Amino acid sequence: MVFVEGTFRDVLIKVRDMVHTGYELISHPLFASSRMMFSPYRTVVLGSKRDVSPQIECQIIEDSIISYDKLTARRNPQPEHNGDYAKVDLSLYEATLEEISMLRSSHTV
Amino acid sequence: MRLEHNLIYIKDVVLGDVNKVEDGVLTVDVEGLKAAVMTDDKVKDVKVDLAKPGERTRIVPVKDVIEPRFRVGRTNGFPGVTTKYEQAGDGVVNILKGAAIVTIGDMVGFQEGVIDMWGEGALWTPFSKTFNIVVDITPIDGLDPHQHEVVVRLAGLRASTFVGLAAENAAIDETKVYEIGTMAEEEAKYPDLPKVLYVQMNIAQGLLHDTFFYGVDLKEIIPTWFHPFEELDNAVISGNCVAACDKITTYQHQNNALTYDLYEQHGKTINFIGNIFSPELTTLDGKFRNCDYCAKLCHQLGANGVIVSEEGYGNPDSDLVMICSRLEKRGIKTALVTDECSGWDGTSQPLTDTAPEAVAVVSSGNVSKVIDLEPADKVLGNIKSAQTLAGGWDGCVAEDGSLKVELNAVIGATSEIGYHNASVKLY
Repeated sequence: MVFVEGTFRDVLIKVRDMVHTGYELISHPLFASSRMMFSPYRTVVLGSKRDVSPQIECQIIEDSIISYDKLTARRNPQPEHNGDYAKVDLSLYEATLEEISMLRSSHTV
Repeated sequence: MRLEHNLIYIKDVVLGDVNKVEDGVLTVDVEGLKAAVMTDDKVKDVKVDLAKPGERTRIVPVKDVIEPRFRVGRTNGFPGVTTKYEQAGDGVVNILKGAAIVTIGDMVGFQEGVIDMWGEGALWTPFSKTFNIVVDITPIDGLDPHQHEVVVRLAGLRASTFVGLAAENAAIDETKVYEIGTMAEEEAKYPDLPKVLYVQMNIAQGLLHDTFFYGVDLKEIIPTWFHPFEELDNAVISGNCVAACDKITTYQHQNNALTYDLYEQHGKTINFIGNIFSPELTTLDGKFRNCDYCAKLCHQLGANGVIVSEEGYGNPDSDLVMICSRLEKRGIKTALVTDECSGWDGTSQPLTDTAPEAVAVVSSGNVSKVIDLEPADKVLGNIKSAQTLAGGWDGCVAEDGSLKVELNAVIGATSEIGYHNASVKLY
């Protein structure tokens, strides 16, 4: 577990650095709705380190940073909503873990 | 399948003590409606208001919009959700056309979703033209956001079914009949027409980001082929709350504009062979699996062409272009329908992801476009949510109280299934 003390963007940069050094990108770095782009929190699931990451994973994290910058360029933080953003991020992270479980763990002994 | 839509055109709505339609005026039994919503013991209170086209009324934050209907001679409601499961898509539906149930529920403080019934805001949402029965639901204390969302979602469905009872014996203004036989029958009728499938991508990711088919959570399915009429007959409902401009409300599922348009061309320019759900998951493995499976289904069904619509923005862009690449590589011509996030001036790269195969793309609008919302005389919902709408940037609240907001915040402003107001102007 890596905790990034910083913004959503700082999380994306950390994910980029780790993916480029071989860590598997398991969950997509972005949310599915533009409003959630303004969340100060983002949980991204990474896997184990390999020798090299496939191009698609590098491309997804790079494109995500470009997209994030574009959407949030003019936004000021709205700290009054931080608690709710944290709740939704946590809930979507739990759903991601369930998705991973359905994809993989159901068939492990 | 054969689906009959009996349309009852609504020209006004009033609150009363019985559900009925007379001369186009819908009367809603307001106490009965409240009682129908309060059958859930997790609902603490419910308020009912009306919002009519042209009034200086703002509704915010909107949870869902639902069309009130009466399913004739069948279970009346949403199969697998508010009623026992029943096959949808085959039968008769009486529809209060021009009326809508709008549910309000602020599960989280940053929730958007505005409908302005007048002014510039009204230009951008199709639900400024409907006579809206606004149902404001307060749940009991102590519910978590998951439970709150379920309570408001189901309350809206029950409300629409209750109001829809007015359609049971109302005079029918127009009947539209939709009929498509089996694939073999249609191919025999139209052997020379290209076979076209419609792939509908739906957000399926968890809290405030879900879609249901016969009550089944789309997160839990692999892409599946279904009959276009099932969606037009209450089989699909929305559990989305935070992608106001490009989420597909339940109303838009009930009236999927792409399905209507494809049906209109069926037997003329194309052979419309059905719809496919492709759930938008959160993991890359999940996305690869669904995109591959979706392309395989289209190939196996013999599609010559496919239309793909997206829901939401951000990680679903990856699914959209991956489906497109996989289809084109199999020799299937593919057109995409998506909105774009191309900055305030509209000049930035519009999608998160791109692919060289994605050359036929229809834009349903720029979610970042800034519009002005004048001060409202009446706000239905949460005044704090109205303030949250303002974009959170310098200068977004003017001295006269008007707000600058991005289209992001407006319900249905850039609908990626085409049920919206934005269009293209040629110069």
